[in-house]
Amino acid sequence: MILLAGIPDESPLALVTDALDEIGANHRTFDQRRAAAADVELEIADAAGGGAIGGTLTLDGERIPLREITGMYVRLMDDQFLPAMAGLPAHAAERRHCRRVHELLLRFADIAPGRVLNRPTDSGSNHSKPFQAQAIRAAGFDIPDTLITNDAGAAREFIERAWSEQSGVIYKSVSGVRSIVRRVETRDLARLEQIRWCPTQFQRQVAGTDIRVHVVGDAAFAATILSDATDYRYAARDIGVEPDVVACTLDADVRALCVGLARRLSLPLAGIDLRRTPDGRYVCFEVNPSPAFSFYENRAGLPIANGIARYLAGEVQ
Amino acid sequence: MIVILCHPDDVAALWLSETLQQLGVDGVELVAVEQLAFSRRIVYHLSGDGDSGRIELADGRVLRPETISGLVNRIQYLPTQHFANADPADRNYAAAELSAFVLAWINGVGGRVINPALPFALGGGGFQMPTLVQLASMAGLPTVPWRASTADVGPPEGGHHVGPSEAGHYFGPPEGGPYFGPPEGGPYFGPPEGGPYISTHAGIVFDGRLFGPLLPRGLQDACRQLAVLLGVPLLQVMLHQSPGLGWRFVNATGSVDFRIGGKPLALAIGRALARRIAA
Repeated sequence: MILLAGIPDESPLALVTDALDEIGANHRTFDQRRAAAADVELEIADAAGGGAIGGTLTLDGERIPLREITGMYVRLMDDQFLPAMAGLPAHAAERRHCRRVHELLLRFADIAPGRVLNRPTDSGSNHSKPFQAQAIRAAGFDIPDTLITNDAGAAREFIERAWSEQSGVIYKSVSGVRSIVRRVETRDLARLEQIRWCPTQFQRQVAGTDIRVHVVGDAAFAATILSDATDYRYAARDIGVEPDVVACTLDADVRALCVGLARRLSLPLAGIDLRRTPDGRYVCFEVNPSPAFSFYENRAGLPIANGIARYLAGEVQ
Repeated sequence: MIVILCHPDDVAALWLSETLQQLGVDGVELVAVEQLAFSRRIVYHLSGDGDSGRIELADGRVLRPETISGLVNRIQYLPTQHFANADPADRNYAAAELSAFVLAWINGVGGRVINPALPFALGGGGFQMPTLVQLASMAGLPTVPWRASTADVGPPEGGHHVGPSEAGHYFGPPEGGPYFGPPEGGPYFGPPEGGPYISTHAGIVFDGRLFGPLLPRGLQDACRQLAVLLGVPLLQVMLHQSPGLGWRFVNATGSVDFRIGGKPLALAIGRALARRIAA
């Protein structure tokens, strides 16, 4: 049995549900909004039992032995922001139950013997973009020239050098919080002193074509994105024009690098952001461990959900 | 330079620093996590060629990732008092930014890092109890069944943690035996009042060698195997022993008490971190 966890009508989860139906796979969904009707018992056997995992997941009265779960697609939103929880005091029994259900499911997802997209403990690398960049570089991709500093002088020098070489500079969060990319404009130089309070990340802008690659196991689904926005995800809001997203074929070596990078990060499902430069280099910006792939599937016609379903069902590596 | 990055009250790290110096290991620098968090100036470059840069501490010392031959990471938390006057959303954002930077900075150190920082645990080596019990069982350590349920009365959930936090407990030992509750916190648990005598033992694995009080051969091998299964070079394994129940695995952590391993452990760490030892 395959367990899906998240909000059932959220696009990626809905697409995977449909894809599992299409291939006839047995599945259940843990609906976060119905956590009150869920219970989890997680058991680890002693040494004589080889540490075997046991227990049950109860969903709306149906008891599912955890040992029957052979695959998981984990796309949980932060349960503290669930509408039913948001207004409750911290110690409310409903909130504590909801938290515990999530906590135990996440712990199970970490150690479940089947295929899990993705294990929670392995999904933390994009909490730190430079930490992830170090892994990206080690996997063989180029990374953008980056400065992290709380020194206004160093930031100014980095920016002005890039400008003098006809290159732009962007700034974005170091962590995964408020992860929006912005271009440094001349007017921003006047407020550089504010970075004194917190190290800030600046990157030299990389010219080229955006490519989004979704790795699912050994498979890779790629699309090019054409947009004039600094961050194409916000193109409609920022420049009033939706990006063009078109399926493309990766060179074998780039595809291998993508699969290798996802494997290095222990992420059988990954959304990898690349840019192909005019001189043919591939610069990698980041790897999303919980990609909202529906945006690319719907626009480019990529069969990503089908790939996920078949991977979870054990039909493909 | 060997950096021991720790909190000012980390007596095990202070002991290691002093012992390394007594053993003649050159260039040991004790750096408080607070000094790193409140550093005067941070300039850090990443490029295709590698990482470089400098962190200038308030006491005038400068940390360069490429000149650190070894680092002992003992971070328990990052102090954020300097963000105290920001509104809560900005404070949380700044704390996440600082944490993300420190994670990358430690990861970018040129030399060996003992307890590499992890996204969910800056100090590294923090393990979830279900994972620990499962792997300890596989390693051959004498575990008892572990169970957690939403029906249990869990600890108060004052804050919210998206990341891992502990839930669950060991089943107590067989009937009539003591019950210790969740094996969290420090490495030592005293016997419960009126209960049978239970002694606590700890062994420290470092680079495949076991340090500390002598354990039975089978347990030594199992401790080493647990470190292998967890993928860590440094691990403290805690065990209980009682006349009636024999040996029991209690917990394991990467945040070890170096004093348990004594000078032999300090020497092994010094050799692993230093490019050269004077004597």
